[in-house]
Amino acid sequence: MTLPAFKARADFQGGAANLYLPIIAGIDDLKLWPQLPLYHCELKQYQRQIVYQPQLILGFQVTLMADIRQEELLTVIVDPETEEVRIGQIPSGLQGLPKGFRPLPDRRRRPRKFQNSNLELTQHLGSMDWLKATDYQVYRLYQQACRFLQNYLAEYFASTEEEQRQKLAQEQDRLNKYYQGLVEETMANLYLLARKAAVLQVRVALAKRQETAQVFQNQLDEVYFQLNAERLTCQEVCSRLAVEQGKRLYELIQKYQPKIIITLISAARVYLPRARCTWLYQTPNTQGSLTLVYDHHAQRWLGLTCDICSQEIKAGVIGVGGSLLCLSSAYRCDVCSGYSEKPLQICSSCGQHYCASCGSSCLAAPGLPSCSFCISCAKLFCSLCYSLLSYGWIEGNMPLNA
Amino acid sequence: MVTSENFSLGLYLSFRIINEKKVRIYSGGLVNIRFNSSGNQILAELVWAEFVSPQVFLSTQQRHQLSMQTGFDRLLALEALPHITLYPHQQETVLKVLRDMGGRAVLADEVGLGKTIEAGVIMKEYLLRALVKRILVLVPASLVSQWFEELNYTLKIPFQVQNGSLPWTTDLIIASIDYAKRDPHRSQILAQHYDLVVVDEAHKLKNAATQNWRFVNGIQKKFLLLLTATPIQNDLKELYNIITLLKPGQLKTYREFKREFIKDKRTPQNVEKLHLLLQEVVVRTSRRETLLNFPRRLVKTLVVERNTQEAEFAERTFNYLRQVYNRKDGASKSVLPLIVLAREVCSSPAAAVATLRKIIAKSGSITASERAELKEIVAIGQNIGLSAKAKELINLITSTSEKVLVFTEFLQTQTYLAQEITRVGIEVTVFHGGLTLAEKDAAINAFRHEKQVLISTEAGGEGRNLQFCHILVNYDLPWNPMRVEQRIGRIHRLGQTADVLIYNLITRKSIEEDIVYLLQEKLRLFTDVLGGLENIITSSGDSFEKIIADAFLGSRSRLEATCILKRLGDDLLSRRSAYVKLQKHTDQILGVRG
Repeated sequence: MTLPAFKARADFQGGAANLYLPIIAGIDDLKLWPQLPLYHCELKQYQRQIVYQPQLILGFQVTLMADIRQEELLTVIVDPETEEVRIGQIPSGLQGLPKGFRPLPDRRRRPRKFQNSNLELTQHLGSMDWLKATDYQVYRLYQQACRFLQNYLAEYFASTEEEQRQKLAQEQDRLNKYYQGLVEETMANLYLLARKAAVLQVRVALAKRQETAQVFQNQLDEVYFQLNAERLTCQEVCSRLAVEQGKRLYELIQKYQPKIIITLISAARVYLPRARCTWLYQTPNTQGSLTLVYDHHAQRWLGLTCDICSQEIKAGVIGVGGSLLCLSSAYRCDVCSGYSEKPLQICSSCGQHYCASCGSSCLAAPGLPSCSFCISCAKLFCSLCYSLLSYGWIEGNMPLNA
Repeated sequence: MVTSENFSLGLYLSFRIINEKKVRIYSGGLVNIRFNSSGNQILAELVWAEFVSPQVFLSTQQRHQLSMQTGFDRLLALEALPHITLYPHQQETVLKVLRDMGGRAVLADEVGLGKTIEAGVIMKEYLLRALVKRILVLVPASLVSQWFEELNYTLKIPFQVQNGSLPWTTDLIIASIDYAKRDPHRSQILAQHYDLVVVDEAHKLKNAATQNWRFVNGIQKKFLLLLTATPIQNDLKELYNIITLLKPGQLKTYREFKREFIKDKRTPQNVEKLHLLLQEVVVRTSRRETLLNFPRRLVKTLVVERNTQEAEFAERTFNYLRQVYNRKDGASKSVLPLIVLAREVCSSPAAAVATLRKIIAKSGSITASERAELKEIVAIGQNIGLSAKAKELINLITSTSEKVLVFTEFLQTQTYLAQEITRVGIEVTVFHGGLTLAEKDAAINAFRHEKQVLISTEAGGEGRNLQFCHILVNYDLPWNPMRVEQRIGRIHRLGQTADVLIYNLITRKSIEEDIVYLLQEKLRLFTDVLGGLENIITSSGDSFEKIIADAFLGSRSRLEATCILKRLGDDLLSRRSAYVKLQKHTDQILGVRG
C-alpha cells in the first residue's frame, strides 16, 4: 500500500464512537436554568427526573472547488427526540460507553468495501440500502442531516458562489467581445467589397453610354467574384472562430463552476443527560400539565415550540385548548383575557374580540356556539352582550325573542 | 457552434450547447452538491459498533480541523516538501498565480530566478488541493530530462516522460513540444482535456501562424503556465500572441492592440495602461528586485601535462578518429560514436580502452590493418599507470579536508578513479544512474556523513541535495555547456552558503583546453549565472558538440580548428550580449525595475 493510499484509508477509519456525557453537579438545579418563558399562567413544578437521550453527531468535511479550494468542517447534530437538525459543537467531557450497550446487528451482513464516488443526494442515499436495512434510525437521521446540509450550504457558500459567478461572467464577457471583434475584423473586407459592388451597380445603371456601362459591368463582375471568394473565406474563418470560442468557453466553465463535495469524516452516537420536568399550569379558562426537557449542555428548553407556527418560543402562552403558543400565533380574548389558538370573533354589539368559550350560543340550535355562516345567527354576540340582550338592556337592539 | 442559453430548468439549472456538447451550467445558485460515499465506512463502523475511544475520536476530529484548506492562504506544497525553501519572490509569484491570476500566467522571471521551481510548486499545490489531476508539460527536447528530474526528485511529482510508449491519457506527462505537435500525437492530445498545461521556453510560441502556437492554442486546458524569460524578442506582436494564447481578449484583437498600444514595432505607447493589463497575466521579477546574493563561483583550471605514454595513446587514437571521420561521406556521417570516443580519450585511457576493445571485437566493421593498429593503441592504454590528471586530482583531494564532488562522464573513469583514490587511503563513494534508489540515497548519505569524496556521473545527483559540499572537480568536461551548468547547479544553489570552488582538470594541448576557453572566456559560464543558456547555444543549427567534433576531427590542421572555434566563440559572445540586451528590453516593456 502506498503512503497516500494508507493515509486516505486512515482518514476514513476510527471516526465512529459511542459516547456519553456524565452527570455533573447542578444539572437539575432549577435555579440555574433560565425561566420558562410562558406568561399569563400559573406554573407549578410537579416532578423532574434526569434522563439520557441519544443524539447523532456527524462531522462533515465540506469542500468547495472552483478555481480555488476551500474546506470547512461542519458538525451536524441530529436529535431523534425532537427531530431537530442543527449545526453545533461536540460537547466537551464526553466518555466512551461500553460496547455491549445495545444489541449489535448481524455482523455477517457488514459490507466489506465501499466505493469512493461523488453522487447527488438522491443517488447517494439510494446507494445506502445496506444502512437502511441494518439500522433504519441511523439511516433516517443521516438522511435528515444530508438534506439539512444541502439547504444550509447553498446559503453558506452564497457569497463565494456569487464571486465565482461574477468572475465567470467577466471572463465570458471578455471572451465574447474578443471573438466578436475578430469576426468583425474578418468581415471588414467583405463589407468593403459589398460597398464597392453597390457603387458599381449604381454606376452601371447611370452610365449614359453603352461602352461605359460595359466597363463598369466588367468591374462589377470582378468585384462579385472577389466577393464570393471573400465570403467563403469569411465563412471558414468564422466557423473556426466559433469552434475555438466554444472551447475557450468550455474551459472557463470548467474552471469557475463551483462544486461542493460533502464527505462524512466522523459519526458518534452521544447520550446526553437531560432534565425532564412536568409542570402544572392554570390559566383563566384552562388547566393541565406540561412536560418539557431541559438540555443543560445547550442551556435551552427542548420541545418548547409553538403548536401553530412550529417556531421556538421565546415568549409564549398556553392557549384555551392547552396548546403552547408563541405570542404572534396567539389571539387574546377581550372578554376572558385568555389566549386562543383560533382567530377571534367580534361581538356585533360591543365590538370586543372574543374566543370560542366566551361566544354566545346559536339562536337556531341552543347549546352550540354561533357560527358566521348561519342565517339565523347572522349577528354574533359575546356571551355578556347576549345575556344583556335577552333582557333588552342594550339600547338600539331589539330583544331577541321579539 | 455556440448558442446562448437554449433552455433552462427551474431556477438554477441551464444548459448550453457548446460544439455540439451539452454543458450543464449552474447559473443561479449552488446546486452542484455531491456527497462522497467514502464516509460509508464510518457509518458502517457506527452501526457495527466498531468504536474508537473518545480521545481518538476527538483527536481525529482535531486533525481534520487542522488540515482544512482555506483558499490559498498558505502553500500546502511547502509543507509537503520540507526540503524546499522558496525565495520570497518565488513564494510571491506562486501565490499571485494561484490567487490573483487563476492559474493562467506567463512566468517571465529573469533567468536564474527559478521559474521551473515556481511552476513545479504551482503544480504541486494544485495537485495537493485536488484541483488538477491531468498535467501536460511541454518543453524543448533538450530539457525533457531536466524537467523530469526536477519534478520527480525535487518536487516529488510522479511525472512520466513521453517516449512513445505512453498513452496521452496518462495523468502526469512530460513531452517534447516538437514531438507532441506532430501527428498522430497532435490529434490525440487535442482530443484530451487537460487540467493544467505547462509550456517551457514559451517564446517559441511568439508567432501565431506557427504550428507550435496553433497546437498549444488547440489544447483544451483549465490552467496554463507559460515560462519564458523573454516574452518579447523583436516585436510587440510576439508579446500579444503569447498573452492571447494565455487569455484571449486580454489585449483585445490585434488591430485594437496595435491602435492602442504600439508606437512602432518595438516601442509601446499608453505604457501605463499596457503595464496594468500585462500585470494581470505576467509575473516578472528582475534579479535586482530580489536582492539575492548568490554565493560566488570561483573557477580554477588545472592544466596538466600528459606523460609520454598518455600522449602517445591520445595522439594515436585521435589520428584513428580523424581517419574514420574523413573517410565517411556526408550521408553516412554519423559522428556520434566518434564524439563519444574522443570524449573518452579526454576523460581517461580506461574509458577509451573499453570502447576500443568493443570496436575490435566487432567483426567486419574495420579492416585488418585498422584492427592491428587499434590493438596496439589498446596495449599502450592498458600500460598507462596513474594518469597525470588522476595524480593531480589526488593531490587536490589530499590538500584539503573539505568534501569534494568529482564529476566524470564515464563509468570506466569513475571506477578507475575510485580505485586510485582509495589506494591512497581516502574514502570514496560513487554515484551513477545504474544504482537503485536506495543505493543512491545511501551513497549521498555516506558522502554527507562519512566519505570525503563523491565521484558522480552526469546521471547522478540530479535534484539531490549536495549543498553541504562546495568543491567541485570537473575531471572531464562535457562538450555541452548545458551539462556543465547542470553539474555546477548541483552545489551552486539555494542553501549553499560558501563560495563554490570549481576545478577544471584539463590536459595541455587538448580539445578540453579549447572548450574551457569557449565556456569561460566567451560564455563566462563558470563565473556568471547567466541562464538562458539553452537559447544561446541552440540558436544555430548544429549542436555545440558537433561543431567541436567537426573542428577537431575534420580540420586539416590545428590552426584551422582554432579558427573554427574562434568563430564559434565570437558567435557565442554576440548571442550572449544580444540575450542580455533582450532581457533589458523585456523589463522595460513589462514595467519591471531592472
